[in-house]
Amino acid sequence: MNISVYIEPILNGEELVKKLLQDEFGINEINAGILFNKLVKPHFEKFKDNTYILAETNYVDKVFRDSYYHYYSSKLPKYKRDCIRLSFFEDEIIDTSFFDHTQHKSLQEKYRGFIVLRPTDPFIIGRSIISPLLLKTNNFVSCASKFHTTVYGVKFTVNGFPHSSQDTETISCAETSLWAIMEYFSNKYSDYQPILPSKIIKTLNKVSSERQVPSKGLNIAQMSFALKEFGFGTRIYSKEEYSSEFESLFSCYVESGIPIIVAIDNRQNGGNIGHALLAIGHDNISVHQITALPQFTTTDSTLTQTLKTNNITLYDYDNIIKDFVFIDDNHPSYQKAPLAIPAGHYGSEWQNCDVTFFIVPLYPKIYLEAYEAKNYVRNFILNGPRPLNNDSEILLRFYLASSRSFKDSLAKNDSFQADLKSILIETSMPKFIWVTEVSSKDLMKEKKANGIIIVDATEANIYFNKPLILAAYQDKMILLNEISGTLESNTLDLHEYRIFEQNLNYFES
Amino acid sequence: MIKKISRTEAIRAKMKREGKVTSLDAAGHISAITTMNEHLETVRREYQVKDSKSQITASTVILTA
Repeated sequence: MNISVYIEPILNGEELVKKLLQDEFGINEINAGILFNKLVKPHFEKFKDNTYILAETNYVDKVFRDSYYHYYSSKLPKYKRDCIRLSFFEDEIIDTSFFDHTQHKSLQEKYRGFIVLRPTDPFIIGRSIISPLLLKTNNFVSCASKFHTTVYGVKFTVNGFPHSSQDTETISCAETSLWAIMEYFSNKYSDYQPILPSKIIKTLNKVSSERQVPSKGLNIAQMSFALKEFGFGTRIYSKEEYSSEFESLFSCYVESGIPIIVAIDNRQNGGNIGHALLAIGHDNISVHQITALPQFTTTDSTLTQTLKTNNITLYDYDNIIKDFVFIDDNHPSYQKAPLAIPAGHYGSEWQNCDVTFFIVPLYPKIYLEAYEAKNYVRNFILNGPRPLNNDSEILLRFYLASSRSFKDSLAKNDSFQADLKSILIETSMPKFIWVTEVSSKDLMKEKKANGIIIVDATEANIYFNKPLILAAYQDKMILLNEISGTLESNTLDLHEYRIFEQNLNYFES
Repeated sequence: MIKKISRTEAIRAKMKREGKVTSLDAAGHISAITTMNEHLETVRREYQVKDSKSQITASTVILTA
């Protein structure tokens, strides 16, 4: 059984894909045209015009093979086992380069990922990882991981986020979201394992009163349960319950570089759609968006009173109105939409969908989640033993970071005050910390801050400032004196520094 | 001779020598921390209600599209 290989510019993409669908999957010419226009073309239209495609037949795709052996092979119709893989390169490639090792570096520089086509007509778009560098529009920041792959016998790496469309029988939007989350985390961190559709089904069998295939979707609690079984300390946030804080919490987790499962729904608006997708990033924040950032308001009467009495103006970076980047199994990778219109990239039937829930796959030892962490920090700077000066105007940027990444960025940040840098790097920290950068609108427009608060994400006991590791703002540094067991305030001028941006990847080219 | 390169102890000792350190254990500080604790307790109770209601309703929303 030979592998057929083709190289064509994306201009000839339609002809190539239609030929492959006919030759490899036995789809007739008319249907191949329909499938291309409906499913493949929307992907190709997002790619740069100088894209080249290398197509390989008889590709063994791990995700489809799992679905095949656990489901499709048990059906009467004969489904093929093999897939087609389309690999993408930015700029022209020629076949002889693959057999010339001196050309491999140049090929790697051009390599931008792949899409698998599976023989599950009409749901043919399978697993894919596309680098945002291939997109015509990539002015966003997002979670991404480096994946290893091979093309025409040569090993390559691509930096992107996993995507797959649903086949509607073994995987619906819910299972696809779980698969993509685990594919990302397992590739990035050794704490997690990749999962296949059959593993999701097996895991949820424990809590399902009905059969799992053909899939009828999953409810949010089932998705959360599956993530918990796969090693996460999952949290669920409902818009109805968190109301005014909901979007800010959503943004905070995205800013933390954690892909989150988002539930959108229009059933409360008379529709019948309930859909799961992933939020993995947001568009690049412009100066205008920071200027337009509204003042922080809260239903917390104590904080509101302090803000008023001390004439303090507070801004929350998470309240910046922006587009988020979604991985949606009904659309090509990296869709952008505001949270208020999460299905803005769909047709009219979907336009009245709202985000109703999101699920956060937290590292299991992050015991202090965003709602309480943000609340603690606000209380500390407004009502703590060393509160902000009266008449202050402050912008706070919250995010979760691994202490390793944070310290690494800190060590490389030559704008950070030297003494405080030493103290922070030499301070014992848990694996994850909550970081609050204290800034102003003007400073944030230059991507700078002049204060920082570090909170222990493993400390759920918020009383007596137990989660506080260190705070430095307005010429003071507050930290625990380990001998006396009390907090102490030190005079320290922390001048402006470049903010930390290690959580999300930039791609704009 | 083995040389210790970490600087935190020296920096903090220098700050103390220069009179830049204040212990936050005066009555005003303790009062602020106690009031903060009480407020955090109130917010935690609200959070626990939001959290449990989120979990209860989560089982009623099926995602299929």
